[in-house]
Parts: sequence; structure tokens; C-alpha cells
Amino acid sequence: MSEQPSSFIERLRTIVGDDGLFSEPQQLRLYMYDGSIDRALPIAVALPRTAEQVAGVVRLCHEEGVFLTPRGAGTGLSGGSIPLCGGVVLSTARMKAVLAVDTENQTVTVQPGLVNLDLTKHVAPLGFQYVPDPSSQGACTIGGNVAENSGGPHTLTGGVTTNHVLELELVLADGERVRIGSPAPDPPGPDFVGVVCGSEGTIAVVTQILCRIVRKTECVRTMLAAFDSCRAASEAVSAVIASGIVPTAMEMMDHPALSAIEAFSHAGYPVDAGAVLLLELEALREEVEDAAPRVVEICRANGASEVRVAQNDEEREALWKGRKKAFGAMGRIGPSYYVQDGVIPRTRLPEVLERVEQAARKVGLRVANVFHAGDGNLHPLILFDDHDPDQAKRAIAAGEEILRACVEAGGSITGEHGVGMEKRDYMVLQFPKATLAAFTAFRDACDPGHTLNPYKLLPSGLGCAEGGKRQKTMAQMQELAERNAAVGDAY
Amino acid sequence: MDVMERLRPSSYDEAARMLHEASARGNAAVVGSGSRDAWFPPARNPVAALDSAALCGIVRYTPADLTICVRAGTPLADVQAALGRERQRLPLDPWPQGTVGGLIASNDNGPLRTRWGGVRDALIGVRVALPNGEVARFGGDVVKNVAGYDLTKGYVGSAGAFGMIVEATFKVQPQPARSTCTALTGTLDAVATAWRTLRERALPFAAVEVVRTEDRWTLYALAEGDSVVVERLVRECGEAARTTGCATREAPPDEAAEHARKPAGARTWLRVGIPPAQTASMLASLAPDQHAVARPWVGIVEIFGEALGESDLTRILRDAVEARGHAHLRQADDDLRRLLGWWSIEQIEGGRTMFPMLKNALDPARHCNAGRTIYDQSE
Repeated sequence: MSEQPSSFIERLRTIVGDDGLFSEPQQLRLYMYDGSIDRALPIAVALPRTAEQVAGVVRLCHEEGVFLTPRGAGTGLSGGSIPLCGGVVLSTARMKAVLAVDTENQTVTVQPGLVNLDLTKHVAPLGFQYVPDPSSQGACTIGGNVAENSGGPHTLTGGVTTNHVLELELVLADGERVRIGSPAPDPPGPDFVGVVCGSEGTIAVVTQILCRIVRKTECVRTMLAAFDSCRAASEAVSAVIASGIVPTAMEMMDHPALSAIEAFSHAGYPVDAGAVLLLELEALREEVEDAAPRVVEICRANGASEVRVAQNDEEREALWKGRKKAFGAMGRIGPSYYVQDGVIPRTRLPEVLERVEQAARKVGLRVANVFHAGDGNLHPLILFDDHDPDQAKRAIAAGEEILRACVEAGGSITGEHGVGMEKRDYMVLQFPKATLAAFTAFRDACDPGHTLNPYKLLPSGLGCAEGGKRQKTMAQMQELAERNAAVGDAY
Repeated sequence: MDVMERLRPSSYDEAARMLHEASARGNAAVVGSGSRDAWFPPARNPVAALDSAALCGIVRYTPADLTICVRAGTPLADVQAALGRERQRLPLDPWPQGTVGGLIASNDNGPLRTRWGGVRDALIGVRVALPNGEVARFGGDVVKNVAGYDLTKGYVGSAGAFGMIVEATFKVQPQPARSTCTALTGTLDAVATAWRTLRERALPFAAVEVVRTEDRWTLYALAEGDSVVVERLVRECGEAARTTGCATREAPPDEAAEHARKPAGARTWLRVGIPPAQTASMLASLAPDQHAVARPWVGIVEIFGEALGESDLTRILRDAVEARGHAHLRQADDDLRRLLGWWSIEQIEGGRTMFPMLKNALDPARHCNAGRTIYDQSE
């Protein structure tokens, strides 16, 4: 930095105003975390209200070489909004307006800080919905969803965030404001919007989003099927797909998860089951009425001991309530959890779930599984005590083992939570050097100084020996876990 | 294309090596089957052209995973045939000729765009030969994947600007059990009211196409799925026809496809993208002898014909841009081409800023298919 921090902070204040800047330690502490296991303290938090102010903050940080970490609601699960190297956190919390609703073109223009669920609530009276529905939808923001390319349980047929974003207004790393994409289909040239979705705040800050909305489906039927084991439930998932029926959601919860969820949410889940599938069909009434009994039959043929079909909206909400609050429910069975987000081809579910169980057993920790079975997106929750550095280390080791299993099965290290800081050094498991070099070159081309969300998404220290590099990051994570314990003790 | 050398790599590594060597000497062109070659400006002064004809065939296909991985030189028709044997399909029905790589690079689509989206919605991974001699892989084989930058999307519509696509993985879907096409014929106002009514009712038609047939307009609504779904959708068409005064009939399966295709002999072909609510007014503005096909739920209007003169085209291009859309003159005589260029677009600045970022990362020497996209016309 070319000047004293106090002067820098005063310049920030002139951009965002007195009420748009936090710099007191007790305020900053609220911005040192997200939903993952790491922590780091920013030097200031800017809360701009306009795109001009965002551009001003980004430009100032760019000019002064100060790191800038964009942040939506901080619900991310990969450390994406943690200001790893200090610097400024740019929170979009005060940019949460719905700017325009266009029912004829089935689009909505929103600011990035709008909460996901508030978008659907806004358009619901008009008969519309916004499809991507991450479990954190009551808190997470559309801007954060764009950064992470978030999914949710209903993406099996509906797609993820990138499939529902038509146009973006951005502030690039040097403060330049640009608009990409179009309200019209298939604009000429490369799909820039697709490239920005999921870039985790490392190449731009999103200031406005044109989202696609869809009319609410005529008929929804939700059902719950109980199985003896995850293997049987996985086989039922494949059998449903093989029958030509593609449900909008196929969620699986294993026995440990069920126990925790039921104790927390009282959703009425069968706690004795080895695994439960939550299936949802959304379509024309005739189609649902035709398909639902076939799904029930397929589940029974694959060993379901019980199949329960929600008879009304209340029962449907009760079935979903448990699933949506599943991560929060883990507090019932462990002080903390480390959640992984690997994806595998659906047909490999049974064998990879066994490897997940083995990985946790090997390090002496328990694991609960709550995940999107339909698209093979696992969410093993490794239970550990975050005040015990040794347990943290073992949880991380089990997590790595699980991600290895996913990649070896032909999958990915992350399906919707993002790479962030947590999985950056596992990128080498999934991608060849040429790909990582291209990612780095793209990052360099967009933000040569790496001031935007530094040390995220890309492996740290490219060029080191790969094994050594992971070791190094493991050590850093270990150190962070220890620091985390100290912070917890202090407050 | 004045090409000094034609190269046909038979492996991914060979493609990367050939592209590296060619681009070290000058500009290198990347081509598929050439079926869409004329839709884009020619590559600037290539010293060599790499074609994908020998990079052909299916790499991986597990029907139960609903994904397929193929080499980029595979004709789309071959991919559909392989999927068809398992009663599955790739829900993309663009210009029927051409390779998978060409389909991605041109971002082409057809009637099924209405329900199933475009290339970007079906494509989940690519492998590319880069001008630096390396083979990189973006995306993957699984339907959800947010590891790293989604550069796969950068290749959709890239016209070969970022290297040679050598392999692609797509999401696929079960073939529908049944399919019925209903035709509703009437005035443009009546037909437009019908398509709006059907859209407002959130009915999952696989395709909705509008064509002018002499002095009337015909709406083709394609119902796909199990019998109960098809019957319901056909019933809804009947209801929409009754309330709008359109005549209705079941159309033979190929009738809509025949209309959607560019007529033989048409020398001009313009493809317009506009916000879908603008479709009716754009169709209304066309002269009676202009042959047009529209996808009104999406906002695509394709206009073909010999009668399209400079003034007609200029007005249509202006209307598209004013509606916040864009237009691509896929085919035109040289004189028209000189006057109107290849594309009209509402705003180009964002892409002009982003394109060099991708180019710097993937083809920093700017030798790969130079001059073929809207964003490198002035380089």
C-alpha cells in the first residue's frame, strides 16, 4: 500500500459514506467467516449502495494494491468470501432491490444483494418462481449465487444459476463497468455470462443481474421413500432414471443424517431407516399422476420399506423442512462439521458412498450424508470438534480422501459450493497442468494484480511440486484451525 | 479460403502439436466439416487449416448417467444415432449437417431450443487443443461441476478463437415416448394470442414455431412425452385455437421442420435474437414476401429470401438493436455483405473488454481463427 491505512480508509469513506463503512474491530469480526471452517479479519468492510460506489471501491483497491473480497451473505461453504489476506470486504448487503419485473419476457432485474428466496417471494404472486434454490436460500444472495454458480435440490431438471442468468453488469478488477450477455437469446460471440458465473469473485464484482423466471408448475408431488441402506436407495435412483422419469429433485439422507434432522426439525422422518430418498415430481397434473405411482412402484421394487406421498402443501413443506435445515441439524450430533461437495456419475453412487464411510472411519470420525442423489452431488458432513486441532486435521484428511474418490470415479471436487480457499489445492486432483495454467492465465488476464478475492479458486503456489503444495496448504489450514480455536476462546 | 496447408490430426496431442506449429508460423484456421463456414467471416490469412474429420467417434457413453462424451469431429447425426439405440437423445436440433465441434463453436440450435435451451445448457465439458501445444480440459463428465472457471462456456460461440475443440461431453435425455405436432393457422394477431396463451399456461411444449404460409400464419406446437402429456397438450392447442379463431389440425412430423429449414435457393439468411415479447411486432413488420420462421417463446426470428434488399435488412437490423437484441447475417451476396457486415448488436463494449481476456489466456499470439468472431473484426 502506498499510503497509511487510516488515509486509505478515509478515502474509502468518501466513496461509500459514513454509514457505508465498518472499520471498528467489533464490526470487522462479523466479516471474518463464512459457512466454512476458516476465519480471517479484514481491515475494513465497505457496504456500497450503488454500482458507482462499487466501481469506486474496486478502483481504489486496484490503485492501492489492496486486496478486495466481495461478499454476499457469507453463507458460502468453501471460504470464498473470507478475506484470507486481510484487505477490504465489499458487502453487497445494501444493494438488494428488485429493479424490474418483466412478466412478458419472463425476466427480473435485481441487485446482487437480493436474497434468493426474496426473489421468488417477489414474483410468486404473479405466478412465477426463480428456479435455483440452494438450501441457504433464505439468506444467500443472487450475487453470491452468480459467483458460486449455485445449485440446490431442484437443479436436476431446472439447471443451476448459469442456466437462469441472461445478462450481467459487472465491475472489473480495475474498476471499469461493463455489461455482458443480453435479454435476447444467443448473443453473438463467446458466452461471457457463462464464464463469469462461478468465477467466485476473482474476476469481477457483479452489480446487476437479469434473471430468468419461470411460471410455477401446475402440479407438484413430493414423496419420501425409506430404504435399508444407501446402496438400495442409490439403486432406486438409477432405476427411476432408467424408467425415463426425471424427477425435479432426488435427495438422499443416510441414517446418521436422519437421526440428527429428525431431532432438530421433527419432520416426521423414519429414523430407523438406513437411508431415505426425498423425490419430487413437478409437471402437468396428468404427467405427475401418471408418473407418481410408477416411482412408488420402482422404489418398492428396489427395497423401499415405506413410501409416503405428501397429500397437501403442508405435508410437502414438512418433508422439505427437514432437508433444507439438514446442515444446521448436525449440531445435534457433533460440535461442528466439515462438508464436502464432490460430484460423481450417478451410477457410481454405491461404491463411492462406501469409500466416504471408509475415509471417515479411517480417521476415527463420523460422517453423515445429505445430498443431491439425482445429479450425483455428494455432501458428506464429517463431524468433528472445531476446537480440537487434531480433529480438524483428521476431518481435512478424510475430506481429501473423499474428493480423491470422486475424481477417481470420473467426477468433480465441487458441484455447487465452489473451490474458494478450501479446495484450491485439490484442483490438481481433477485438472491437468494445461487446464490449471489456462485458469491462471485467465485470472492474470482479468486481474493482473490478483487484488480481487486473492488466493481463491486456483491452487496456491503453482509451480511447486504438487504433493508438497498440498502439504503446505494442509499446514496452512491446520494453522487457521488453531487460530480459529484461539479466536473462539477469546470471544 | 486461401490456405497453404491442410492438416488433419488424428489424436488430441497431434492436434495440439499441429496447432502450435502452425500458429508459430502465422495464423491458423480451425475447421469442422465446413457446413457452417459461410456463416462467419473467413479466417485472416491462414498459413494452415486444421480439420477435425479424423477426430471422430464416441469416447464414453453410460446411458444410465445420461451423459455422452464424443470426439469433436463426430457428425451430430452419428451422435444422435448412437443415443437413439438406447432410446436417448441430445436435445439439440440445429442445422442438420456438421460436427459436434462446429455446433459448439457456432452456438447453433433449432426448434427444441424452446424447451431445452441451447448448446450452453447441454454442454458440460470440452477438451481443447491450445495453440501453446497443450491439451486442456474444461468442465467434465458430471452434470454439476463448479471446479475452476467455466471456460467450457467460453467455447460456445467462440468460432474457433480459443483453439481447437477436440472432445465434448453433453447431458442427454430419454427420448420422448410420443410426439405430436399441432398446427394452428390464422392471422398473425390470432396466432400471437394463441402462443401467448399457451405460454402463460406454462405448458411444456418441446417446440413452438411460427411461419408465414401465404397470407396466413401457422403456429406449430410440438408436444412430446408420455401419452397423457401429449394428449393434454394437443387438447390445450385445440382450446387455444377455439378462443383465438385459428384453424387447427395435426401436422405431419416433417411439416414444421420443412418450414424451419432455409429454403433451397434462398440467397439471404438473417437470424435475429430479440426479447421474446418483441417477436410479434417484428413479424408484423416484415413484408408479405419475406419468408420467416420464429420461435416466439425464445425470441428468435429467422428471415430468408431473395427479396430481402438493403433497405429491408437495414430496417430489421435497426429494429432488432432497438429491441435490445442482435442479428446475424448468416448468408448474403457480396454487395449486401459489404454494406451490412455480419452482425448487428445492441451493445458490444462488454464483449470487447472480455474477449481479449479470454484470448490472452488461451491464444495470446492471436493466431487462432483470427477474424472469425464479432469481437476480433478490427484486430
